[in-house]
Amino acid sequence: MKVFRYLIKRLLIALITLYIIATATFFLLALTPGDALSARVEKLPDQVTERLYEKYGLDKPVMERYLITMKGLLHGDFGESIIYEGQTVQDIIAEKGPVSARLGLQQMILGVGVGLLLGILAAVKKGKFWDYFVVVLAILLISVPNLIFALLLQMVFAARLKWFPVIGWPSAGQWFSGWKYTVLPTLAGCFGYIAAYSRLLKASMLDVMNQDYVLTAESKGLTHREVILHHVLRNSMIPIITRLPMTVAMCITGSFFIESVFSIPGLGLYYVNAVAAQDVPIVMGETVIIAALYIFVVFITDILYTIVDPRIRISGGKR
Amino acid sequence: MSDYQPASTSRILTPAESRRVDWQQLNAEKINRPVITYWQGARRWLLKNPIAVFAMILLLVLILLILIGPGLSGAEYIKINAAAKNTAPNAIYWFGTDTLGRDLWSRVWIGARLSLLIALACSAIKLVVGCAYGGIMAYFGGKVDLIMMRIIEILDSFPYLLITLLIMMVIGKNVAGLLTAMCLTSWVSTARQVRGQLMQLRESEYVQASQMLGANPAHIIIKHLLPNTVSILILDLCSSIPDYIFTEASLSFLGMGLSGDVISLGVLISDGKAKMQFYPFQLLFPAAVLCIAVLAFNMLGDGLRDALDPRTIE
Repeated sequence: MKVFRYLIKRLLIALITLYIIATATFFLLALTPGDALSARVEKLPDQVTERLYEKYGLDKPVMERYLITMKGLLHGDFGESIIYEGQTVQDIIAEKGPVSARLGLQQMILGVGVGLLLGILAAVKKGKFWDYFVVVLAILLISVPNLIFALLLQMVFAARLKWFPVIGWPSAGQWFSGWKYTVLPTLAGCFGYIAAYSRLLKASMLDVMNQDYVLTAESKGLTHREVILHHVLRNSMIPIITRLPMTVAMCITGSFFIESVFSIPGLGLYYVNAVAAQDVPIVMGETVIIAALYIFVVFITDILYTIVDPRIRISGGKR
Repeated sequence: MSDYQPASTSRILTPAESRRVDWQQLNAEKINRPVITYWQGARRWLLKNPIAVFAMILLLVLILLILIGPGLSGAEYIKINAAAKNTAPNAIYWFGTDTLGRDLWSRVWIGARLSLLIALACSAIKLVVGCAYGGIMAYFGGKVDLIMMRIIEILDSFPYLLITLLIMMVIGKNVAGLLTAMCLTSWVSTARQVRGQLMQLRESEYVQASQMLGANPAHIIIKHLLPNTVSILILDLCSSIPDYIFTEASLSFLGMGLSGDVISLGVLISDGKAKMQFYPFQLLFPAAVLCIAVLAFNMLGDGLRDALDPRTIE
């Protein structure tokens, strides 16, 4: 029953959080000078302007708009885009989501994979050349922001050497075609993961290697390889597994900078444009959906902790 | 046996200080080695670490250049020279000139000055707010702690970049907007750390022992709570400064950061991007300065982490 009560409590907190985020977003948008239509109606006659404002409900007072928006949110209806006529948030996420998700997943698979391998290498060869190599590499990769990586890769491999297209993204068959377009953005984004995951796994493995059960395994006469694979690696995966959901969530929501550098029509770039154009329904919708995703992921992470490490109990309530 | 010296002690103490005492003169109550304070120990470890020393030298050079760099080349950073547009680096214009013929060398250092100032200001706000909030949570505990923790959890769920963009829209694309936007949610991690550390310290045996021995609260705060929290804050500072430098640059790059006549590294990178195919140096120099600054802070932070936490010393 404890678990059940815990779940209910988490759900309630999540709903309150979402409500606060939606409210904050709404009023921030309302506070912003100008509105989505002001650029468009400049040259239109007054009557048309009035009709346009009426159509999107922008003529009503702020509080009334707030109530309408909140009612819509309850039904999962975020409203229609003001900039792109007829498009709803759901349409846009269905259209842009896969683009960001593909880019993010490619970055993640490459980055996490390489990062974990380097982490194992550094832990196994502690104090030797490869250890220092990984340490230095990680600090270099962390220090160069992915925005700079993206620009440099674009400059060298696309503009100079012309190996890959400078900007763009495959339009048809979104998941597997046009790999040439995806190489540079994927590379630019994966370095951060390599650095983060190699550090995380190395620290975790060194921690596990100091445990008594590893000493026991060693003294039983198991080979070094056996101990690393079965005793150390398994137990040092806990921080990795619990970190992964957040990485996946960040992948799906897209990377603003890389999408902007390579003009990739993903969620991140779209969101920036929507904020700049004050497209209220779209910004509200995306913010709430992304926040919901984050909250869900944090919840999954907490559950994962108790599954992969039975020493942690839910009732403790501590992360 | 007496001349055996483990490697680790000989690295922080001189051989004379770390010598073993003959058992015949053994006096269990006497401390034979000189007592060094926490900070002395930390400084020793830091100076023994070549990477950290290198980072400190790098930072000093950077700060020096930020302070006096713009005057060195003799070219003014706002003077438009129509005859010298997009000049490649040469003896007069050390980093070349931009599309309006302005000296890039002095612009880069002026830009780095603003970027660093913004990062420092944000970090200061983050530390003050985080410490106050975390301190209150740890001090009062109970219901207050619970409610304040809920607020932290809600702030944590805000999509960071999205809120930053929105705030920039509301307040405007100026330094005040940037400071507000970047500080609004980032103090949360500091507050969490401070709270956790204080809670842990309060329960620790040596603090309890100190209380038992009749130490007054001021002594406990100054001698035990403060030094152990300060080390966390220094590390936090070292990791947050590069974060802020990077966030400022990225926002300016997206066109959501500083605008107008203000020069920051982000603005310069953004300007350089437009011309990168023809004049790559306009992008490379500001980008390189940004990377070096971030790298220096990261390396120093890594060195400090080892130096400030004696438990990591093996």
